[in-house]
Amino acid sequence: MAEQPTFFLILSALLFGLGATGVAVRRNPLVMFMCIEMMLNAANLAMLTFARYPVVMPPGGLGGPSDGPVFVFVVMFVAAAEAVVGLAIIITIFRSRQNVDVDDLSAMRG
Amino acid sequence: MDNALLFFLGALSLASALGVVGSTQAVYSALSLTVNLLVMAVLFLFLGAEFLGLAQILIYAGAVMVLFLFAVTLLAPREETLFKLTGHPQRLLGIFVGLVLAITLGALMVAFPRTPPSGPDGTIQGFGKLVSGLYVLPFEATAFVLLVALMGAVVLGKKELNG
Repeated sequence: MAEQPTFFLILSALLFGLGATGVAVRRNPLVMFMCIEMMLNAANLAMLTFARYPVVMPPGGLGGPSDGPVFVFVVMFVAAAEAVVGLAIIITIFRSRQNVDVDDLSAMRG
Repeated sequence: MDNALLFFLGALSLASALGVVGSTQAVYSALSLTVNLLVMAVLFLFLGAEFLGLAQILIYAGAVMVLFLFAVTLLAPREETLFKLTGHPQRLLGIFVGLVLAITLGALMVAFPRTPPSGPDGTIQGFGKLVSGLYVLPFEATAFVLLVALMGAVVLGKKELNG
């Protein structure tokens, strides 16, 4: 098998691409949200891989390669907050329109 | 053994990702996403981030997925007609963009010059030292973001926004 970071990085890139495809192809905002979560997770996987197998860093930076988990942690919580607010918006839209299809929704105002 | 397990996990994660993108029912997408997130947690463990692997199960596979399933079952969206590519040129374009993104990102990330592997301190101890030391401000900002999201959800959930 190739060296391990290659495996993780390629998997991460494939997942990110699949997520982007889903956001572009699907018309259901719930599924689009799921695809966004998948993309964020792919980014997390890449960050943890870079923390485990560090690249050559330019000198003079503040942190070190072992700080990757902190960034993953922040991304995780931002994703959770984004899911909460996004789903609340979708449910609010559904309550006023009885329809959730992004092709029919082009404006945020009621 | 390790390699076989890793390849199996990778295949499972890609298959469940395809399930998220390709299911016509939103519930199936949500369940596939749960599988994907759990596999990702195992991959985090492989990368030596024990705390984040467990946090992934708790936050994503627990809290976020419950929220998603709740929303999906509440809205009960209609079945989508997928892959009717004729008349929807943006869908073909979306697939193309996804492919290009995956290839360029993968090539870019693999091409970085590497130092020999040095395991990070992925345990809760090393993580706690970072979060209470150099990164104490971003950590507090994360807590603030969660508070704002909570308040936003309450405001959006009220019956009348101007009431």
